[in-house]
Amino acid sequence: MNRIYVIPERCTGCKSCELACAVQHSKEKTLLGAISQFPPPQKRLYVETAGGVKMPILCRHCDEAPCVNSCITGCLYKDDNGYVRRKKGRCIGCWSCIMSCPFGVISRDNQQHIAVKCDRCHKLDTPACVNACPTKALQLVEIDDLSAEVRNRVILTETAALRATGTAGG
Amino acid sequence: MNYTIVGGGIAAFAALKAIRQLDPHAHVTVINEEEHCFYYRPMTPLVVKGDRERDEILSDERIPEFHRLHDRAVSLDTATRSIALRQGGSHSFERLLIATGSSPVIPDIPGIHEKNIYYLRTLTDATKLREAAKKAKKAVVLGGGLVGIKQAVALNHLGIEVTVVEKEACILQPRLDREGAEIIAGKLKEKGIRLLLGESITEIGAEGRKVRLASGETIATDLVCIAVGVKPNLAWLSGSGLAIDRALVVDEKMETNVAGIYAAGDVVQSKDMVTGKTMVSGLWTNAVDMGRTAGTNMAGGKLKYAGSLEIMNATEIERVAFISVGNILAEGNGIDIVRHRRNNDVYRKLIFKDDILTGAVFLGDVTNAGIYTALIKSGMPLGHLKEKAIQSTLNYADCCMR
Repeated sequence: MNRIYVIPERCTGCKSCELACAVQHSKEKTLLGAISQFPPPQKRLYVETAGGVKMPILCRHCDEAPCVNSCITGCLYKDDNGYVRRKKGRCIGCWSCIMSCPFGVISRDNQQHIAVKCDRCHKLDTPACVNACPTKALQLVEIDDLSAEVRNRVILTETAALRATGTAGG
Repeated sequence: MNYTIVGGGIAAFAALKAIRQLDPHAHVTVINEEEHCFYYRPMTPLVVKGDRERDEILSDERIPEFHRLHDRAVSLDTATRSIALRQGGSHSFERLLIATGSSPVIPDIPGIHEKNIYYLRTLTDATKLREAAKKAKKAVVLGGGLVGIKQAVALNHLGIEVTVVEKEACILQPRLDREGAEIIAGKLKEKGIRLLLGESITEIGAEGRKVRLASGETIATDLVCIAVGVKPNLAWLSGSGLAIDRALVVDEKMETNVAGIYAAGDVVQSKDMVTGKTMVSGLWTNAVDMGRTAGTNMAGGKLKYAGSLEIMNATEIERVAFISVGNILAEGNGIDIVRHRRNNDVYRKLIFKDDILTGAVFLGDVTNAGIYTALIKSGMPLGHLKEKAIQSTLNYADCCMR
C-alpha cells in the first residue's frame, strides 16, 4: 500500500500539482481542454504558505476518516486500497464532510452541488500531482518503506541527542 | 463471543462494523423493530421531498454479517442477562449494546392523536408523509428546528402551502445563531413559507384539518407535522438497574454501570467537549463515534470516547449552506465574538474565549470549516493564529507550522 508523502522543504510553491490535479479531473484531461471547460475543473489539493514554508495540503485518506464517519448519505467510503472516495449520485451537498475534515481539503462543486475531494487518481498508478511535481516535494511512498525511514530518522536524531548529552554508551 | 445490539440506527451500525473488524467470527444479533435496518436517517426529508427514493437511503455498504431479530426489546434483566421481546420469548446475551435511539416528543395538545398528524423519524414515517403530501394542498408544521424546517422545505417544494409554527422568536434554535437564522428565514419567506414565530398550537381539531393558535387564529390544513424534538427511548429499561440520569450514564468506554452492557447514540448522555456540560446528543457524527467506541471495547479493543459536541451541524437550506460548531450562542464576560457579514448571503461568526476558539458559524461560505472544528475540539490557544482565523486566511499549514 502506498501513500502520497509531502516534503515541505522541497516545495517551491509553483502549484504545478494544483494545475495537474485540475487537468486530471477535467473532461478531456488535457491542459487545453481544462482551460476551455466551463465551468472549469476543480483542483483537489491546495498549496498553502505558513511561516515562510510552502506546502501542498491534500487528503490523507485517514484510517478513521472523519469525513466518512460524518457522511450522512453513505456517499463517502473507503475503497479496497484504503482511499476515501465518493459514490456517484449519493452526495446531497450537506457539507458534513467539510465540517469534519481537519485538513480543509474538501470543497464544494457549486455547479453539481456535491462535495469535491481527492480520489487519489485511483485509476492511475501515480497520481497526477505526484507526476507533476518538479522538485519531488510530492512523492509516492510505500507505507512500509516510509515507516522504516521515519523510524531510522527518529533513531538517528535521538541517539545524536543522547550522544550530545553524554548519556549514550558509545 | 456472542454480541447483541438493540437498535438499527447509525450507532448500532458503527458498533457492528467495529465488532466485526476485531472479531471477524463474532456472532452478532441485532434486535430492531423498524421495517428497515441501517439506513441514512438524516436523508428522510429528501424522501418526503421526492429527491430520493426509499431504496436510495438504505445503506449500500457491504454490511457485515449479522443475525436480525425483527422484534422490539421490551425489558432487560441484567441478572440473567436476557432481553424480553414483544412477540414473546427472550434473548440471552453475553455482551450487549443499547442503541435504541430516540423518538419524537408528542406535545400535550388537545387533539394531538387526531388523524392526519405526522412525525418524521423513521423511513416508514417519511414514506407515509410522502404519500399524504401527494393529496395535500396545505400543511402546518409545529416546530421550527432543523427537522421541522426540512419538512417545511420538502412540502413547499411539492407545491403545498406551508405554515411553520415556532414558539421561539427565531427558527433553527439552538443550531444556528440569530443572525444566521434570520438569513435562512428570509429565504424561506421568499419561497412562500409562512413563519409564525413566538406562536404555538393550542388545539388540533377536525381530524387534523384545523389548527388553533395561541393568538386565536385558526388555520385550515390538510395535515399537521409535529417536530418539537426527540426523547431517548429508555422506557424499556426502567427497573433494569442501569444508571439513568438525563439518559443512560456511560463511562469513557461507553460501558454502563453493569459490566458488559454498553450504550451509544441518542440514548446516552455525554459531555460537551467545549462547555463540559452534560447533555444528550441526537447528532449523527457523535453517534458514529460512540458506536465505534462501544463496538471496539466490546470486542476487546481499547478506545476512549473523547466527548461530544452539542452543536455540530452542517446542512443546506434553500441553497444556503451553513455549518455551526461549538458554543455558538455564548456571550458575556471574557467571550470575544467576531462577526463578519460579507453580503446578504454570506455570514461568519467566530467565538473566542481569550485566544481559544470555542464556536464558529459559517453561512454561505463554508470553506475550511473543518479546520475550525478541529481547533474547537482541541481547545488549543491560538496565539498569533487568532488574527488569521479572524481574517479567514487560516489554513492547515498554519496549524502545522505553529
